[in-house]
Amino acid sequence: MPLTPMDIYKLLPKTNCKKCGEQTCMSFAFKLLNREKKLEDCRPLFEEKKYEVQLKKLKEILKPLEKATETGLIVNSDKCNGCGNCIVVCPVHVEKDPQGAGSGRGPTISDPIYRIENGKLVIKNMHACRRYGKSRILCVVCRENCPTDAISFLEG
Amino acid sequence: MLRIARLLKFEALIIVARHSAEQKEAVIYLNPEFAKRSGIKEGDIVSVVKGDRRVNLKVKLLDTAPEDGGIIPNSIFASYLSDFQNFKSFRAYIEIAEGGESKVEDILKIVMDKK
Amino acid sequence: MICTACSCLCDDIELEDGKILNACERGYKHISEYRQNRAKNSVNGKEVDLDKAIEAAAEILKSASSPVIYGMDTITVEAQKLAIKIAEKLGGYIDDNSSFCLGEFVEAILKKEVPSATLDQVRDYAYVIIYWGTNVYRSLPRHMSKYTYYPRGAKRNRGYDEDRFLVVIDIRKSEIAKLAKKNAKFIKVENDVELVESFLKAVEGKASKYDVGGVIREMKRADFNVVFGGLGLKYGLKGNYGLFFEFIRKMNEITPLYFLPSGFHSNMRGFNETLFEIVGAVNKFSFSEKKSDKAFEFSELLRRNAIDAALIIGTDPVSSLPYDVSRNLMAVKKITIDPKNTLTASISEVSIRSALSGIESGGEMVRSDGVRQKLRPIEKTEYDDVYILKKILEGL
Ligand code: SF4
Ligand code: SF4
Ligand code: SF4
Ligand code: SF4
Repeated sequence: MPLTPMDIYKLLPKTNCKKCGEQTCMSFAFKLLNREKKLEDCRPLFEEKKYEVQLKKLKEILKPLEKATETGLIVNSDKCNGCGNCIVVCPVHVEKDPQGAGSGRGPTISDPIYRIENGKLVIKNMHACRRYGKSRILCVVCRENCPTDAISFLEG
Repeated sequence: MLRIARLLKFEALIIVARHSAEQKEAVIYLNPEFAKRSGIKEGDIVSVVKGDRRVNLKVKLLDTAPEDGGIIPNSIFASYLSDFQNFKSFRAYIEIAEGGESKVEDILKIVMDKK
Repeated sequence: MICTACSCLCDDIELEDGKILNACERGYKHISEYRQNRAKNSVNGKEVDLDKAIEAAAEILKSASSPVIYGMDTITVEAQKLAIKIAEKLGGYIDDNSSFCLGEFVEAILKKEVPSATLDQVRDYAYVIIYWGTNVYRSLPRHMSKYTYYPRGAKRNRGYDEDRFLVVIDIRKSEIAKLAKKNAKFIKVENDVELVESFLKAVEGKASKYDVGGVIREMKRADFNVVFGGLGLKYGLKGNYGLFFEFIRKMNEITPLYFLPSGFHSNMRGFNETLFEIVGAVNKFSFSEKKSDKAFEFSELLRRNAIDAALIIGTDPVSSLPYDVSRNLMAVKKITIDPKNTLTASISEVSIRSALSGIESGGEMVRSDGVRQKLRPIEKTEYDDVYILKKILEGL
């Protein structure tokens, strides 16, 4: 199950005290998930003892975030057999490398998002992914075409 | 706890197919639903029995395995169970095994002994 | 380099900073582990030098009264030609894996009984893509991404979800069946013959057991459709190949439908084509009787105990043939030529170590669609299949 902002929100103090710089705890939860904020930014969580249990739980559910890239993408190498579906379908590759990755070959551009190295998918340049940055969109094309669910995203 | 599966045999559809690990691993990929129904868990050793032939394979679960059975990757284990008429898929019985997995050498010996 | 781990023969494999790029996991293992588990040159289990092993092999073949040459699906066309010469000189049998794999399919294509196409054409033009009895995710991992469903092609440049229609036919929900989502159909088949009949009926507008009218409607929308047939189809047809080819031909009266085999071995198509050029048959051929016959299949020969020596090249029948066949191998003198110490090599009277085609030795191979590829090895070994087979031929 991907982690949702709601899962995080439930464990926050829910006081909307704004100490984190956000207007509401909910918007803090969103930014946390997108790695625009750190858990430490919610000071009450750490300063007030009554949140101890919640804090522990939060740390636990946020653990996968450390493994994930900035776009929330996780590749499970054990499940990947290097079929290359994800590389070929990625709309960014199609646009930037139409004759290479877009046409089924190994990427021919110097900064592809993905590449197959030693038989497994590796992430080379997450910044080019449509899920990255301010104007991101929730693209799931690569994940949708992996038959073994080797690709997952933290959020939806 | 006595596991009921020890007493039972389950008929299964076995498909022989290429898989990433088809070399020397004695493994069978069972459909998770089938395994659950049969009281078999991932990591168990099962005997796959066809006529008087039997191989012991380690169970892995795979959701793309046939609903009423499993996949044995192309290997001497699959070939030993199969006959020429039906070596892509056949029916066999599965039961919880007594010992460990079969070894390539064991099967090879049986093949070699039948002159 | 070109990967020789399956019949896709991917031509975009690169080596960079000690990493292998673009090859799938199967290809990566094939390339990175090429030094492991190598065969030895041996006679009756004793290690000898190459010349001695070749000499012993020639002796066995010369004194055999009914020898067979078997395998050859992972060696180059050049080596296949030499192997065929050896069989001819011995007046023996020759056969490869295709006799229990997709030989019938390739034969129909070579005899032009069914229309076929190249994978490059499939990429550029195909709309409906049918995978029948083949789970390429496991057997030919890059098939869909490099050649068929996923890549953008000349006339199909809007991507798979708009420009292609995927049909997966299997007895189970395989990995590629999971990919049949939008603009796609998964047909769970219990009886392949009945499914072919359903297609034939649907062509006439009649309904029957399987609902395939929609697939036919999609095919009619396009000027290029394709069926990939695998082992599941072959065995599902239970010998009714004629009926299946009839379906392909009937479809072609309405809309173009091409047929391609999706077999596994890197150069099985090459063997079929090479033998076909020389004798007019794709496999199971007897040079003494000058014809091809079911009775000359390697497995049939073994079952009938009709051979006394076997030259086994680049294949491992002890692992791959069913028990009721492989057990009879023990009564036959076996010579194995293989880069790897296969189970068959380990129990052969003579084992000869050869080079890995595509990695240590060059030459030509034929992709599953008939396109020829020049291998680009990264090393060069003198003692490859061509060298070994030439020497054996000289020694006869
Ligand atoms: S600092 Fe914590 S409690 Fe205060 S608004 Fe932000 S998330 Fe909510
Ligand atoms: S999420 Fe979309 S843009 Fe990002 S790598 Fe996957 S397919 Fe490409
Ligand atoms: S992540 Fe999935 S789609 Fe991508 S190469 Fe690996 S197995 Fe194929
Ligand atoms: S698909 Fe086949 S030829 Fe291509 S890299 Fe994988 S194993 Fe090699």
